[in-house]
Amino acid sequence: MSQIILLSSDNVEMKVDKEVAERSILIKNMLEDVGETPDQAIPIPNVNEGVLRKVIEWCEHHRNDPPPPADEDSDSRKKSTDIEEWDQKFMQVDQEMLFEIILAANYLDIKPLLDVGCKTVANMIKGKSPEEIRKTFNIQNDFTPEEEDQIRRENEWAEE
Amino acid sequence: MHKDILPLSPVDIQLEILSYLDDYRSFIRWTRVSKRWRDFVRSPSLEPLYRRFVDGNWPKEYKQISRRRACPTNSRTPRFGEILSTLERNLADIKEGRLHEAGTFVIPQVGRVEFCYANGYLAAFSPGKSGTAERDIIYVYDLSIALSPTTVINARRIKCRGKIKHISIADGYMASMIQDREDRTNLVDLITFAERSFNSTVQNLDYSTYVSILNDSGTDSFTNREKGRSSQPLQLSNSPEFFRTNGSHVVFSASFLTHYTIWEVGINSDAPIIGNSYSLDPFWNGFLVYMWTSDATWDKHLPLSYYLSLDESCDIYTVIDGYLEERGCFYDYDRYLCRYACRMDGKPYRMKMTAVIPPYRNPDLGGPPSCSIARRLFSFPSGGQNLFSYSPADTKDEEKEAIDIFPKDMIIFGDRTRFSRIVVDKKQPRHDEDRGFLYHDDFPPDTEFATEWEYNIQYLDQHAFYRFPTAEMRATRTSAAKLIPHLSPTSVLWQVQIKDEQIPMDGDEDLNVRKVQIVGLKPTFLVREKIVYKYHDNESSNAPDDEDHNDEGNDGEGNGDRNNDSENNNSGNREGEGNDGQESHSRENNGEDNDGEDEYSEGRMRYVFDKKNVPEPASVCKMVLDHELNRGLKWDGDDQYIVLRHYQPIPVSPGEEPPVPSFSTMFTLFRYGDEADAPISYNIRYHEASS
Repeated sequence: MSQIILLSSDNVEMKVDKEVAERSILIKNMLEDVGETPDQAIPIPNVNEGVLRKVIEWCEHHRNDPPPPADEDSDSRKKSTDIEEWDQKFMQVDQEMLFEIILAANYLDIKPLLDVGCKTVANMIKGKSPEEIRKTFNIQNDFTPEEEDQIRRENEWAEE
Repeated sequence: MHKDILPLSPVDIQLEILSYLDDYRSFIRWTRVSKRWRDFVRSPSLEPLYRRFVDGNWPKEYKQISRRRACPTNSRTPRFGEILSTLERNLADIKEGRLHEAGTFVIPQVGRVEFCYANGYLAAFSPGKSGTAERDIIYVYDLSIALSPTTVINARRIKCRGKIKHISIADGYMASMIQDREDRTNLVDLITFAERSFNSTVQNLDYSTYVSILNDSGTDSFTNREKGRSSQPLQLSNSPEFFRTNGSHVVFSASFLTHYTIWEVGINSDAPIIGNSYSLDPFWNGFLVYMWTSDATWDKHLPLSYYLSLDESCDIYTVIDGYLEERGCFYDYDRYLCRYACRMDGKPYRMKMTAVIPPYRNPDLGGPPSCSIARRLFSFPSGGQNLFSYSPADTKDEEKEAIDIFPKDMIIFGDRTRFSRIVVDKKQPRHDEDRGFLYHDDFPPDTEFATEWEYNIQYLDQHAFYRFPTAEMRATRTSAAKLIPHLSPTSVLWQVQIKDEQIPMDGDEDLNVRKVQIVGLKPTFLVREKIVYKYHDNESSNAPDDEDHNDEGNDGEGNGDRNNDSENNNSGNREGEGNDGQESHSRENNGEDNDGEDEYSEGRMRYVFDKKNVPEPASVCKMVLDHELNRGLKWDGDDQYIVLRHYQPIPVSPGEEPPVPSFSTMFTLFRYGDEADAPISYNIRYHEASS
């Protein structure tokens, strides 16, 4: 099986099966443009080594998945936040890494991975109160008590 | 390590994450997380998401807003985020019963006016002959949700070439029927002001001619296209006239609902406008012919009322309500309803041809009726469903007991001695062996879709009542009632209550005033429970609970001859709540059950209020008006406004002659939500238009 080399933003080379790398539509298109398996490393300038390894791990696991439907209409897509068990475990990373994986999936155009990342974040905030969200993401409440009171009054209708 | 992922993500990822969430109100709550989150939620970059919310949850409003945005002459339309916030806020406030007077404006037309209000557009015209009123002007006011909060209301002054006979508004369109040499009908897009018009020659007939034609040729005389009369509306003298639009079609009926004519009027179409007339129902026609030929004074002693509406899918609903002795009413205080629904192509839905509401009177109840005649029929065309609330002439057996335990003055709809009911007329699904339960919309247009049980008439909730919170309110009359915004077990019932009073004045004659209040009533749920008492003795004076008591409150025994599945079939119920009164109910002794008879009886059922679920008093907006002028009080409303039309005397300086007529027409707008700092006096910006 042919392999290609990916070069992370911090100049670390990683050998990957071409089939695995082609889970990324960006890389797949690049390879198609080149026409043959390149000898040189393909630079992935926006993704560092740690994140790229995680992305490759995900692609390895999902190498045999059917390709996602082309141009899926996001409006009509079923909005389930269910995540497969393996993916759930895969996403049990710190929030910085989760953020980077999402950005990398977006950049590399790996829609199923992007979906899993977005669903993970959606599940982190779904149904949560402002206080719970602050706690989940360690966000500092930068409103003065008066400001927060005013917003609370304005939005009283939306409170549960 | 933590990361504030959502606001820090690129916009397309933000949208992707939020697309998995469907509770817009939680977004609003999150504006309190931090300033970054506040700015993120309010950011214009989330517009695609908010647009999807509006489209998905508010399709009618979305259609209007899209038209408005596509029209280059319109001023700035608010962002979808703002619109969504207003819509959601309104819905929350409606559900909570919060309403406040938002302001008033006086229209230039002097004297009495008719008006039509729907979906944020208000149109008014003067039908009268008195005074200086211009009878060829329609004033159209844009109050739509897409309007920026402002004290300026854009209005159109539409000059018509002829006398205005009827107007009707729906979905941002206004249909008008203008009488010139022929009856001309216009459909105007109130957003773009594009217009289509066509003429229709109304055929005027007297009863005898009508009957003789029917006898000669049958109902096809007026409905068969081959005879060249397909587009001719029929008008019989003294008939009430109905003129309705749903934005794409216009329907007219002026023949005691024996016939109707419907035109398809696409604003953006060049296709010829063809009307088709249909006979409503041969049975009803036959009844009228019988009456006309046997009793020349039939309309003097038959107090009938008529109703017609046209829904979004062009189904036409008609109701003939009244005492119809010849139709099986046994007593002169019984009532009979004829109910029909016809599709645009004239094929009737074979709903129950007639329905006696209330169920046949129980003679055992005895006694002459005093004020318990069902006098009013309120109808609520809404979302393809037609809802009717009704004050029944009599009560069912199982309700009699309930009546006994309640204060006699808690009942609404102007009849303070009987139960009020909400009657729901819903399209029922048809069961297909292969495809499961299907609604009529699931079938191709040419499919014959008719079953006798396709429609059903049910109670909204047999044990849900709308109580007036105070004795003072209970002593008023109900002018009209309306469920806003749509059917659900938790819908708020909005009513205008009226009470006329004389206020003593020092040294002068008493002042006659009309006290008006708009009340938003939330449902109170009743539960039915079985009570079993131990044989009464001196040692045990308290009745213990019975282990076998029915705690469902809905066991079928109390359902009479109607099933009670209406909520379950209500796919349009956005709240998806209700029946909460049935889930947890009080079994407390309410003080009514300690009479001697009960002490020795076993296993009796009774209705009780679940005290935990009796709602707080809802909004009450009060006004005091001139009684003499405001006998013709009228109101309408939807999930944007409640609009009340009333009159005010025109002020005259000392020594001046009062004008004729001496009053002007005022509209008061009520908005949902908490009261603003002060009512607004609107400025109206008029634009000229001709029709």
